[in-house]
Amino acid sequence: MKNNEYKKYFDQVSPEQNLIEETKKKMLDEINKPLVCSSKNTRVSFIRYGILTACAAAAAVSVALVPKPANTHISDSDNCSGNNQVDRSFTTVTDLSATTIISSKKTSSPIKNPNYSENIENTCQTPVTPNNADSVNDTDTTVPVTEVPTQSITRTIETAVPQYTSAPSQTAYVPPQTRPQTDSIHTAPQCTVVVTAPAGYRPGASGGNQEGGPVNTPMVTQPCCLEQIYKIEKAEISGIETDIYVNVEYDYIAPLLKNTTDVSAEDAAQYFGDGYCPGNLSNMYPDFKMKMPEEYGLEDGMCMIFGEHTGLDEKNSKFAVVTLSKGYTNLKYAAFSYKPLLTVINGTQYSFTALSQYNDVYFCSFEKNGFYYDLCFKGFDLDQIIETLLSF
Amino acid sequence: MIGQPLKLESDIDQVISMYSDMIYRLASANVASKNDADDVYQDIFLKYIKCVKKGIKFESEEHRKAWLIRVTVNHCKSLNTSTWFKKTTELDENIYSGTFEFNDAKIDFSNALMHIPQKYRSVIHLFYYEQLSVEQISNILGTKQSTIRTQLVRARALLKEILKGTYFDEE
Repeated sequence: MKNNEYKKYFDQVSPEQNLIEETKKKMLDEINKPLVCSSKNTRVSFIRYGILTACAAAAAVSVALVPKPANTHISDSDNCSGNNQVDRSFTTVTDLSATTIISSKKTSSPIKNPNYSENIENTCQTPVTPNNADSVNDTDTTVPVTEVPTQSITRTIETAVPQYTSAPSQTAYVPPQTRPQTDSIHTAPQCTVVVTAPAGYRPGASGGNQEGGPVNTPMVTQPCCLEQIYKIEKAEISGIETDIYVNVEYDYIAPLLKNTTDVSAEDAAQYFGDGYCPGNLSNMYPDFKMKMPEEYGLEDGMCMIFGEHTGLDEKNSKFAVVTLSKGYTNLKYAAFSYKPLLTVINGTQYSFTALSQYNDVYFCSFEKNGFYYDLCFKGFDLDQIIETLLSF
Repeated sequence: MIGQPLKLESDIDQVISMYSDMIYRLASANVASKNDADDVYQDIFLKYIKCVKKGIKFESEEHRKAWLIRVTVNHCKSLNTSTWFKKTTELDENIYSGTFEFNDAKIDFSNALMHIPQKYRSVIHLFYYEQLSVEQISNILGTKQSTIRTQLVRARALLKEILKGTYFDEE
């Protein structure tokens, strides 16, 4: 075997046509974007902020499996105005010992669910906050599943002990009437790291040297119609630590003011845009949507930024997650992550994303045997996670 | 097109058609899975387009090719040294299940390449596939020629050991 065999070997390696087309499209998009000034290029691991605590307790796993049609991803979402193509209702994650698994058959075409729009709208208008264990409402957790017009399978690994409800509660998140003053924002504790804009970055109105001047991009400030998701019991801080940590790459991290419970898209744009990058977040992401952790009943939480302008490839399961954490004195941190962590186990690719690192809640999605699975893990015990994943 | 901002789709088509395979193969030789290679491929072209957009001009086609190679190699290095990769080394055996599949599956260069250090992979690929001279590789990677030669020798030795045979001519 000589050199030509090496050549012959790599002659067979070529990018797939759809990859080429996709790349072309992104290049064209990039060309059409106005120039932006550069920002600092620093990355920081969340570990630097001491999010990981020093406890090695075994993590229990809560699994919520979500019916999701083919070619869609959790990050995919339309506006609350409806026209959603799929029903992405989530089941409720219960306590640590509860594991409810529901799967739906992969579908190749958009699901036309007459109940969906209404369902989504209700979700949007009524942010859901978990209650305590006394207010369990099992029905709510299963209704979305029954609405999926595909064959569903429900399997219970362990006895589910729901500890919260998906019904709106009195303590539901209510945006404050006022927002922090700009001055206050800029006198906030300094952001440790400011990093490069993500792919799809667009200059904002507040930047100093971008072209085109202000861009009045409509911002979505109402709770978005992400999935009816992650209504996780306000979890105790488990303090689970592992080196094999879901170490999402944080391309942005910035402080949010203490007591600022209402971080609208506009506010976030100020925090990120004015303070830390030459753009405006909402202009970077015209379809910017955000949800606060409180809406999920989390100490910290996540929201998602998605859309073509994020430069994130839905098809490749890439999406942005904003993690808001108040695990630190005087600060909340917001961090963008762009790439879920992909790993392959026995030929199946699993995509991990940290939903709430403070609460040790992680998200994993994968496709297996024609089914799409979305799982929430409480704690990151790799052995247990892998065992769970392989059980499907 | 050299030195001119890319404006037309045809320009993009040209760049991609010229360097698509080169970048993808170089990425494939440097990363462990097809998904990573896909990512690298796309990232490189986006970096390229951003560079051109910023006004960076390439003096010649060779210059552009060298730039693309250098950026690809560096990008792969970054990917391979990222925290995530470092923290998942114990899953290597599974990660490899996502490597390329070829008609001639018995020749598993991909696995073999992944078992030699990153710096050797690029050199091997550039030398044996892209058929660049040691001098050219040296210029592109910014490394001394003697270093390149040494790396080639060591890489060949490692591959010989892994693949249980002599696979590369020492020419």
